[in-house]
Amino acid sequence: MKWLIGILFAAGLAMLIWRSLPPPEEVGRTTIRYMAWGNPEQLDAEMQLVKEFERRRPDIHVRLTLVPGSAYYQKLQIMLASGTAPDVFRCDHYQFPAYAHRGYFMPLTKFLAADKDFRLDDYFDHTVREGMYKGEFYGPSVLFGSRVIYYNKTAFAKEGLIDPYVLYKRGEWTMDQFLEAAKRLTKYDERGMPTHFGVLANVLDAWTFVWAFGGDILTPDGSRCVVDSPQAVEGLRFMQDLIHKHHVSPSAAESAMMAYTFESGRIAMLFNWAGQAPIYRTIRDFEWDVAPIPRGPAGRISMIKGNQLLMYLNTEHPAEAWAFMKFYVSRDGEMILCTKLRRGMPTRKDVASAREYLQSTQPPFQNDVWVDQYTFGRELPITDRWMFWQREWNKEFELLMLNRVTAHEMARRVTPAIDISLTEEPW
Amino acid sequence: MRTSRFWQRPAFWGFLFISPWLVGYLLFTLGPMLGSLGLSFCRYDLANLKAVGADNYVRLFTKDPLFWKALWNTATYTLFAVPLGLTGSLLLAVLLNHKVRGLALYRTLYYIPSLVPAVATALLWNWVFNANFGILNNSLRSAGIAHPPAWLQDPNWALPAFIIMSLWGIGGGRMIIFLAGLQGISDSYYEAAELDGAGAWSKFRHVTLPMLTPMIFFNMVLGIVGSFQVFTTAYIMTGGGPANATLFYVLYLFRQAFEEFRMGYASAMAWVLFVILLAFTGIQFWQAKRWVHYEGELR
Amino acid sequence: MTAPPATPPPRRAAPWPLKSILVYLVLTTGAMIFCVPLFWCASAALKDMQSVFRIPVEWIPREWHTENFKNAWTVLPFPIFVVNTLIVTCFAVVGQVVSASLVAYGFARFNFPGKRILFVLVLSTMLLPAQVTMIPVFIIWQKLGLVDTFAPLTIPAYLGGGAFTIFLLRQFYLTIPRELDEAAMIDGCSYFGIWRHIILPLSRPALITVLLFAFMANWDDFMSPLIYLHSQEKLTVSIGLRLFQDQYGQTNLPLLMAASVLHITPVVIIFLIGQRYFIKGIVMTGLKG
Repeated sequence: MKWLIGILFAAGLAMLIWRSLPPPEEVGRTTIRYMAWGNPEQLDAEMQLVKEFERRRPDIHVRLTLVPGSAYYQKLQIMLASGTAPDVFRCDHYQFPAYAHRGYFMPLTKFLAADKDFRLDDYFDHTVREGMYKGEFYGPSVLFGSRVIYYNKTAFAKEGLIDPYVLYKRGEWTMDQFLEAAKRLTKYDERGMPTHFGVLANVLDAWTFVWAFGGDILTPDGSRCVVDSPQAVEGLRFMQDLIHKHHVSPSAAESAMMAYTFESGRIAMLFNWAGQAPIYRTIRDFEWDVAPIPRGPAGRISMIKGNQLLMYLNTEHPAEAWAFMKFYVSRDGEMILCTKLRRGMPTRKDVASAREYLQSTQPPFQNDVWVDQYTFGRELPITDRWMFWQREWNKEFELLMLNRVTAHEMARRVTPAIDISLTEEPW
Repeated sequence: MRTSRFWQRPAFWGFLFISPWLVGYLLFTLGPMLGSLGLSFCRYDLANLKAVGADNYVRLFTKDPLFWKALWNTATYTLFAVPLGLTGSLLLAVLLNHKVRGLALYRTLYYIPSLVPAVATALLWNWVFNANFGILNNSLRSAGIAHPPAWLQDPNWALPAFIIMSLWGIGGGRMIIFLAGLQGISDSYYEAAELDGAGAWSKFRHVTLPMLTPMIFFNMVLGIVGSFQVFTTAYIMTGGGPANATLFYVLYLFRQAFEEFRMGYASAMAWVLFVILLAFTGIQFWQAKRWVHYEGELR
Repeated sequence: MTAPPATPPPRRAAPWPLKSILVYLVLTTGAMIFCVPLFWCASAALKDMQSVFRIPVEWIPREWHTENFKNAWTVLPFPIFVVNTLIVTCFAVVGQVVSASLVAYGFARFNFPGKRILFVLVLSTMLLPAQVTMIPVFIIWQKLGLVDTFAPLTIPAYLGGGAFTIFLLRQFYLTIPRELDEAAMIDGCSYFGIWRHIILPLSRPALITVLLFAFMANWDDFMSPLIYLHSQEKLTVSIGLRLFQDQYGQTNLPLLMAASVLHITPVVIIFLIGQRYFIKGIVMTGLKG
């Protein structure tokens, strides 16, 4: 008996040590570490890209680590603080300025200068601008996208409503039309409980509505809060009314954790990012597609944002890391990510106008919607103070959505508070 | 006369037996703990480090209303969750100690909720607490309550929701410890009590409870420490809302450390919590002499 | 010493007394209430994204999507995750049980200078939120060159196994009468021998408890694998589960529930088996007359 335990123990120890050793595929090649977040489908997408890259560069092995999104930044920070960050990693644009401010990324200027086949004008301006901090270019934009409306075509047809895409093509897809459609698409059951809602937006869409009505939340350089203008208040009020006056959108209590979702057919119009399209491809009960944000009194707007692919300042393999990054946003890389897998909008002009991108075999089919996004797209004024002012804003916004405060009151109250949190912390 | 060599003295053996822990402590724990104490007197935002004396602590106590809010939330939660949980798991353990048929199945059924991973638990309970369609409100409505609370969306009911959620785990670890304790009570005590004419309640009060006091003590100390450090479910379910109603202390700490780049401030928060918990634990140990009954205690 | 009786005397003699019926009633009602959320979990695991939130709740799914279980298993390299988690957990559990038991024995049975302070230190390790010591501890492991190995997940288990287990076992050991120790010492037993022959056997329920806790804690551990493991093929099941929840909340709920069901199965099995050892088997003999 004791022998058995002893043998088992030794076997266990051996396995532990064996599994701790570097895998055989790394012998003889340069290994670079690449870290990103995602769910299992996204893991698939990343693996495909990695395989393609390794096929072209057999001397490089990319070790991919996919980290759960909710814990990504915790892991990243520990790695940065201990000097063990991966060679290449993805960072959401929300966090990019804050990290860049602390000097963790390798500026890519010398790579750009030395590499003649990488041209920044192959890429849309927004995407290049995003990756810059204080004049230096740090990272190409990946998983880029704009905010659009996913809508239930079947529900619209059943109600006899004109399809938003048709209205958009005619130039008639306005906020009023949007509200009308939402009202018609909201349904109740015998008990008076809502079974279907016309629209669902989230806290980020405060920007959408404020912009549509001609206001702004922060100045474009992100230094001051300007949400107390009449136009901005109008936008906020419109959003609040969707829930509490017109009842076309579920309240926070009702929509808690996906009680009403687009995929269950219970939300007719959903505001969401371009990169979420793959998830909705599993829908079989109804037909859906995408439409742009309706035109507000101030004209057409759309929100665009990406994530940065970055190189660690202290990487030991800068050349290989650059090769991988280059491939990720090359034409071939983007064809895989954006066209085949629809994980985001292309950052390259040639991919965005490619036939394969504009025509797809699965929804969304109305891909010319994306083309316009580049023209009307506006970036969020994200600076390294983004995380701080969000706390103030979210707290007040929550109250607005709970109907405990009027839009005017909320704007008046929140502006000075946000101004304070936007100022630098004294060091 | 036998000379007592040092390796024959009990004290030496005592040290020897605890040496694995001591080694681990010196290697991996002491340094980091002292490091974080030092960090609490600095400002560290992952790039710059600057010593600022007691600034963090002063700011914590005088300029940070959220600190008090978080402390209040956590203390309230502890005040209810710990006694309720203790009583619940004790009663459950007693019930599950009877020889009834299907005992193994019952015990397992009550135990499983404590096993469900945090992510699944969070999503599941979000559904249970849903204001319109959740099971809880549906049942309340059938029971005649016309307007059941909005639970996780109502600042007044969000914390009670978490307390209710904590009760789902009474069949878990605590109960197992009580069960193990119940198993260790020798029958001879019960027989002696019966001979003295004691009934069921009397046996419970005079044999079971006293013999269980070490376990009650253990569960109480750890219960308080644990509920002061609630984090994952709040992080996933409510993110501290609505209106900071579920901003638990460690959640606030986590935010300061990993979302707002204030590692020094977070360390100060951690050490304040340390002192609070040390005080609580110290008081409990001191009071333990009065009511905890050990069979084999060292005199 | 008198010999132990052949069988333990039955505690409740009469069949179906009122008390038993009451116990059944309470247990069953309680179990039903407790299990409602679990049942929803299990039924959600068999649905797809569209039907999982249908109102009114479909307790028995109309269509059974058993492929969720197959998908949960294959869409991520779960078999590898399970093997990793199994190796780490078993290794750590052995370490925790043995070393915690030795350390608790030391604290419970011996007097040595500084014992009180050291025990306070043991407890104090539980009082500081781990978030603030994460970075320094990580740096220590990194200096040892052991990041991205299983060492940080297993070695600490051999160094006392954590304050929780030490405290738990110490409480248990304090309930074992010292007379047994003394009797054994008179018979020429060493301190180590007392541990092996007296303390260990008599604390079987406690050790099983510790085993169960240790298994669960290591099986479920999320933080340590998250920060110490970089390579995809070394990840553990708990990380795999979190991957099902996308950062922006687009969770494939049925898949997550299916994965959760698979995740808790081993622990449930261990619990079912370990139950036998909770049945009263220890009889203290001839001590109190």
